[in-house]
Amino acid sequence: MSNQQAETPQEADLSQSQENVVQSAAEFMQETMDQFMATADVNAVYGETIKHQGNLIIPAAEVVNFMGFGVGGGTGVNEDRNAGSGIGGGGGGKSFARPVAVIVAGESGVEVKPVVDFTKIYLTAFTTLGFITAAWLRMRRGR
Amino acid sequence: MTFENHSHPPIRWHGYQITPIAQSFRFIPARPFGIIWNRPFSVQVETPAGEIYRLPVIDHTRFIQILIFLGGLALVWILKAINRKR
Repeated sequence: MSNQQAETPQEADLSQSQENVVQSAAEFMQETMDQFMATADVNAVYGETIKHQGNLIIPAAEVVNFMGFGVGGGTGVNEDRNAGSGIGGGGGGKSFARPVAVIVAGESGVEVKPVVDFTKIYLTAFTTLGFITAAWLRMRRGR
Repeated sequence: MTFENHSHPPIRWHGYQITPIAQSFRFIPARPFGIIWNRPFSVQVETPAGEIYRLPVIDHTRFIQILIFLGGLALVWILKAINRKR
């Protein structure tokens, strides 16, 4: 029923200030999103060049970025005609980087030397081994 | 969802012109959410003689991880087949 009643000046001020807050939050989100989009850049992958013993070294890495945002708000009037409002928002993100290779340029030519992450390989091997053992035990029990 | 290749400004060294190329994968289903995956793709080299070739940048860690995982799946499949025959 209260929805059909005319908006009081207090309620109008409240909804206006809430709109402003939501708008500034949206602007902030847009700005952060633009910065996030800019991470799809070649400079994120190739690091600064290093000169060492007559060779030029360019490190290369894989970079993964995740980001998410949300914002919401609402206003209301209770039975005593007291207006209230609330807004909330949240966001999060994460970046991962892992070296993949090193480009070495010398007098004899240019080479791409791989960077192998043995920790990741061992973890994958142990996980797979666990998966195989679990599957094998299930098969033995099923007999 | 887009795949894009970006070239680094060319670097000159001992007469070689090196142009690193990166590939970016963007997945933005809704505007305030997104994933961007950047990886080194290849290196374009121009020799002092003017010959141009490309060197691929292979992620050996990922390649070995996929091999281990596929090997595990194959082994489970073989074990299942042997178990069924018995």
